[in-house]
Amino acid sequence: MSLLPFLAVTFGGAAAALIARNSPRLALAIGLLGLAGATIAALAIVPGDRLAIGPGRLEVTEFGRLFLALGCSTGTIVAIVGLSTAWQRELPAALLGGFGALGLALSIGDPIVALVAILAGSLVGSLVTLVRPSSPRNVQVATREFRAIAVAGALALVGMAWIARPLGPLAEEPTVFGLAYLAVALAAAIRFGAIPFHRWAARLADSAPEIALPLLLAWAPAGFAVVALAWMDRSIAPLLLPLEVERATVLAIGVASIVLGAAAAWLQDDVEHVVGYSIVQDAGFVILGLAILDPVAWQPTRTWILVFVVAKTAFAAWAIAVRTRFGTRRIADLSGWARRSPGLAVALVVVAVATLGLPGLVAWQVRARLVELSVVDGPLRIAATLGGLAALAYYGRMLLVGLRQPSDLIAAAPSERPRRPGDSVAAPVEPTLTAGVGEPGPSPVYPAIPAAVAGLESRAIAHWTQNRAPIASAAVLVLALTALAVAAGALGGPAAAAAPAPEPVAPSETFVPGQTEPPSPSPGEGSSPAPGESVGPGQTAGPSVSPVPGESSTPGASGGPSFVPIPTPSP
Amino acid sequence: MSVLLVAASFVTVAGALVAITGRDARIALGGLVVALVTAPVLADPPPEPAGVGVRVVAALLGGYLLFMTLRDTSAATRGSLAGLPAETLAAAAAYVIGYGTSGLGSAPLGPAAASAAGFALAVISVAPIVRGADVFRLGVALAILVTGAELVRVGLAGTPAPLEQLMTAGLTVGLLGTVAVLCANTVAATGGLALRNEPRRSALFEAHPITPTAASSLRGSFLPGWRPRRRTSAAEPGRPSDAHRIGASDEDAGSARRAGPSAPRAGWSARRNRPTHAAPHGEQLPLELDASTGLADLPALGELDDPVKTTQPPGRVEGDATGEPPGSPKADEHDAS
Repeated sequence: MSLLPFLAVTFGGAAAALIARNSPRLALAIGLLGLAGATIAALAIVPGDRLAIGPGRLEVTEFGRLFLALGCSTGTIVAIVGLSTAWQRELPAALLGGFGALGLALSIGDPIVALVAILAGSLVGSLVTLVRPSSPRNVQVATREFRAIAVAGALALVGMAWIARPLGPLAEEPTVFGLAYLAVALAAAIRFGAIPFHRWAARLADSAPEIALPLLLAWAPAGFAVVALAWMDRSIAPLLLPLEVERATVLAIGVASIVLGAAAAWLQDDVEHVVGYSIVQDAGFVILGLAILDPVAWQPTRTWILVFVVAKTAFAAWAIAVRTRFGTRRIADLSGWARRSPGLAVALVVVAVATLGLPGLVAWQVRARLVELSVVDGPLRIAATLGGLAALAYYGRMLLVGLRQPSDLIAAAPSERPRRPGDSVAAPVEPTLTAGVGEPGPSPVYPAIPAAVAGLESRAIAHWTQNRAPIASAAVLVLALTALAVAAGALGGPAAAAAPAPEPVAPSETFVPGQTEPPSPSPGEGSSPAPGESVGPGQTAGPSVSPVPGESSTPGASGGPSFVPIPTPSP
Repeated sequence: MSVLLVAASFVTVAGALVAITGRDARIALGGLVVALVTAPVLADPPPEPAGVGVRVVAALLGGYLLFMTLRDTSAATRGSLAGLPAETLAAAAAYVIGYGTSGLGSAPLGPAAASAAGFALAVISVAPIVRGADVFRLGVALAILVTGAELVRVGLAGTPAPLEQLMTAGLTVGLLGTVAVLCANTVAATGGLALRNEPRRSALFEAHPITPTAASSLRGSFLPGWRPRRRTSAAEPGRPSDAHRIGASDEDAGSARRAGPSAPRAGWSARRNRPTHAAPHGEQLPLELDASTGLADLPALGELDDPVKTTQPPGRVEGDATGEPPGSPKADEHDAS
């Protein structure tokens, strides 16, 4: 079972890093090696592998493999960015524990069990919110996140459990399915911090280390959304129920997040707030995907989730690199930053392109597809479309500020040019490394630059210390290019997104043969599943199933489902 | 439904009640662990012993993580604002509702006792989650909420598989471990478990106010026949100090508790000697309304509490806060109290 090495590396690495936290250098080494090893282990996962655990089993999918590989690789780069800017010593352990739980959850067919695993992983990740020295504000922010995770988890748990059994006469009540669907969708919205549930996310963006924002606001909620989407696609969507009110509610949340999130990000004068609200805005498209309730939404939504997490990771890394480089997080004070740091300027442009996409890129198409599928013609569709494009406003604003004449503060910042130890450099911005974060950069890891100490290690440390700025810029640029690659459909993203979710071992669906039929499926559409035949995503072949634009080359994309299930070997 | 299941559900709810209402964090933690240990037993057919064992070990491990944090603190929490009787009644009502609606419209796969206990746990966890001023209480309430949701899930969808038991055990450790870390950071940041250093308001809607509040004093002045009931500590030897409810610090409450029920109430004296502007919001509000309502001539709160300092409002030659003329039997009784 190829998943086991991944789980061993992630959970073992997280535990070892936490145990060794009193020895920062050892914990750092364990964390970085663990992240690198987890990336390799994720790439070595064989889709379709199954591992029986009692009556249940773990089954790896292509989407899970890609999700984990992207998560661990970008997590490694984020850790490098953190090392060169503002470090959070629990970050590697939180990343490893979080991705281990995500790997477990994405391999479990039963959505309830997967949800429990997601919740446990989210709690591990939330610990990275707490920084030293402890302050009531930081604790309060962490508490709010804890509350959001637990409340969303409880809501989704009850919603999923309600219809995870033979319902008998209750199966003829669309309201039952509607309420269960609404509970799970609202839980996903809470988890993403979608508007109007955004208060905790806004506070988190303000108080938590920026380096932790991708894990807290993007990766962990994205795992939740993947599980919720799989549950909806299997339990709600095939029934073709008239859930207009419930869908409208979820749709309103999604459109509000897209429009108001963009407006809030544009109004903010703080780079970290911009990152937080941009995550909320792009999460609105995931919420739109949850509002479609049609198997055809399976692939675009999951493709967007991949683009979303990687692009937002790159954006958060860009923000922390800018803040620590120039010693300020106020946009107004960043006049001329792009001239001083061309690498970061290019990275921001690439992130914007990866997020918004260009015509022809997968990111552009899946966003348009999600809006098209979820919103009928009218002002709401216009609002969603323009709201999505409104991200240009805040990206453009930051870029325009950066193209101005550099201020004294910006001019005094270290440049991106590589240096040798001993070269004269601009004054470091150490005081700002701790501003608002409380974790004094890499200095705890390298307590002092040992000028008198000879040897390779000291020279490597000296080189690192002198070249923090170019290292951070290069790492951010790599992240941005990765995001662009995913947005362009490289790395097999669309095909992986089209792959079906792991099958549950026992049917835990809303109706079983011999029981009351599900309420009024449309004539000619899919019927109740046969024994042992699960209603997989996209398997309800019908006229509404169509491929994502630009994905006609995908095998099986023409005609019926937008994907071909990957053949799985017999257990 | 077997008697054992009902008994286990009662124990689960009782443990959760102790966890929610306990003012000593260690006692509350004991209640939480009891609830978490008995919750996995609530399934029909019974879960596999290995699954139950994993859940029990997870509950004990998580409880120990919290205990390690709490043993270095004063462990004083504010307890439940509603009080144990009200929480018990709410839990009982939710239990009955959960039992009666087991299956939520269809035949359940699990026992009704699990649904009933799940409903009860969810209901009593709401208040601390909404308020959330105390990290420990909030964390305990969230753990109880998730446990309640799991119990509802067992009641609806049947006995969890071993893999789910394993994941739930991990979630339990994660929940309690997160609470432990949050509590440790809160203690490091504030010195206690309370997150917000806000003035504690006296709950004017409480069934048994500890002292006559400003509002009750105002009522007394407008309703001459009304006289607030005041209790002395000597009249209720078994009643623990409620000093923490009226704005005293945790240290005051703790010292009063340690001194025993017959000792002077630390919070009481602190409140008596406190200037009016230091009164909690709930008591300041009526006084701040004086300017607009023409009641500014009423005596200050501290003066009302102290019969010696009770002043006569201008224009009122006779009468005090009780509305009775001086020397009348009721006024004398008020002064004596």
